[in-house]
Amino acid sequence: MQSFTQDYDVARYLEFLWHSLSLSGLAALLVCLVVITMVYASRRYPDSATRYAVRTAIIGYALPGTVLAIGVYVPLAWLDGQISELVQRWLQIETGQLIQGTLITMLIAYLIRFMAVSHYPIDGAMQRITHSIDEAAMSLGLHGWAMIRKVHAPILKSGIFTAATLVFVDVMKEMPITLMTRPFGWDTLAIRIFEMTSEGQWEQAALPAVTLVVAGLIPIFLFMRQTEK
Amino acid sequence: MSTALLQLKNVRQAYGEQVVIRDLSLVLHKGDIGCLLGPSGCGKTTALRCIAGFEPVTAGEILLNGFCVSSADAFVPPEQRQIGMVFQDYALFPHLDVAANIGFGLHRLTRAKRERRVDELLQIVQLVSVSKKYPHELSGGQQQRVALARALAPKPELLLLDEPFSNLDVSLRERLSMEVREILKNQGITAILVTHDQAEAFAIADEIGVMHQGEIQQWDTAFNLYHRPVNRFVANFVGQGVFLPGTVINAQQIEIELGILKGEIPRYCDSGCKVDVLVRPDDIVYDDSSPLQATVIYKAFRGADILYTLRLDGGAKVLALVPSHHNHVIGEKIGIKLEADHIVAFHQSMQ
Repeated sequence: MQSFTQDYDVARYLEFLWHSLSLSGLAALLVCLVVITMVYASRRYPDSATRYAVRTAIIGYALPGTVLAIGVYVPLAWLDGQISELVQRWLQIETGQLIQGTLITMLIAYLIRFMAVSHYPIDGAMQRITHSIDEAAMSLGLHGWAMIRKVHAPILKSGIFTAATLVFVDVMKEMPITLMTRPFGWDTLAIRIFEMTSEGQWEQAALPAVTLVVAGLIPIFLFMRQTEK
Repeated sequence: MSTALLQLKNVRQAYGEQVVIRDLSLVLHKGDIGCLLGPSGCGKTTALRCIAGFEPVTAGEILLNGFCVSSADAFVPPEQRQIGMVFQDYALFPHLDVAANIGFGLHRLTRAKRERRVDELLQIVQLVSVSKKYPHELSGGQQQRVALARALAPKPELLLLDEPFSNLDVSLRERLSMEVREILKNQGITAILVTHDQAEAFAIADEIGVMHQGEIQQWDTAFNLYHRPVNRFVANFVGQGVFLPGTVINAQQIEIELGILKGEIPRYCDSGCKVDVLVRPDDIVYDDSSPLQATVIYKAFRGADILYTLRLDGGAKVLALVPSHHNHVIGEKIGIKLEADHIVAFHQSMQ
């Protein structure tokens, strides 16, 4: 045990943990916001164009992580190049890379990948709010924000919570996209596990691995509690 | 003469080329219960939604207490109309219990006043024992009463009911429709009901408008719709019956295969003119001693009565409602006689 604490750098573990948690949290927030917007759009405009747009949006789940990472990288690198060229021409300022190798790249890739995961629970919750429920609220004197606050939010709440948890845990465990799009040296628990195991340093991978397993159990417990209710 | 609470003046509602309501006018007085009755697709639900403010009108106007709430260029949003509505699917809020559902529209009242009003309504609709339950734990009839209580809670000027009993089984439907009428009458509520079920309309409404193709064909009491329909559509849609060809003898008499009908002939035409006469099942009375015989070709047992379909010797078919102890088999001949109080006859060229 003594040798373990000596060999093991707690500060670095905490740094990986923090990276994993903050990244997952940001991704969960972003994905849920986009999906809520999407679900409201398909409720407001229930035509075939919206339906196809939503189907296309959630197809990213089928892409292998590595393919998605490169697929995101190429257009962003091009965009980055265009921006820095423009800025240089007009302002004579060297911008360097603005988007490539930042959290923005990672978050865009996660968004494409995990929209499908959160679409299902949020859309399911939205289906419970029938149009006549909206109209009932209107006939009882409510509209606009008051209606969203008093009717929509409480009904959508559990669906959004489920969606956020799923994305959070999925991003925690995600490896290929993170590996290929992360800022330099910005390691997460999943990356750490990959690196240590490929170098044969199994004991170094143990604690991050246990952490991920525990994190992965969270949604299972939550779902069990929800189905019991 | 009481004041007109709701007035529709030549209301038209159309989506582009598709006209849903052609020309709808009606007047409903305070405390009355009206009903729009018609087959599906006749525009009755759209009419209700126009009154509630969920659909705009293309032309004409809707007045509430003499104040225009909808016209081609004026529109009061639904949340400001003070109109309560009971939806076909009840539309209860799934995240709120019964008491909170009922109190939902009382957000402007203080807590104490709100609780008092909710208690009062729980008493009226007899749901005190389930006030802490959630909608999914209730039976259909209970959900329906919660929906009614929720709509009544803010004391609306007008209550709209969209096919409120269609999701309930038939036995419950009858009992609840009587209960609802009693509640509405006790509370002095003015209401409009939309339904395709005439038994429901007859049970609840004071006045009924039969709708067809976006127009009211006849706005009248149940008795008059049944006995004095203004056109063939109303005659066919309300109640049962068959048309038999007849000939006008004079202003008081029409001859049909079953005999001579005596009475006031509405829309009299000259003697000798050909008309179609409506014969209701209750216009034909069972009579063993009658010389007039008809063959039973179909029978439907209904408990107290049997509805026989009979073929006359001339080949025409009529319906007869006969007390159920006169049980006859198909193919048998039975004696009948005509006993009609009201003559309903349309000129053969008239629709």
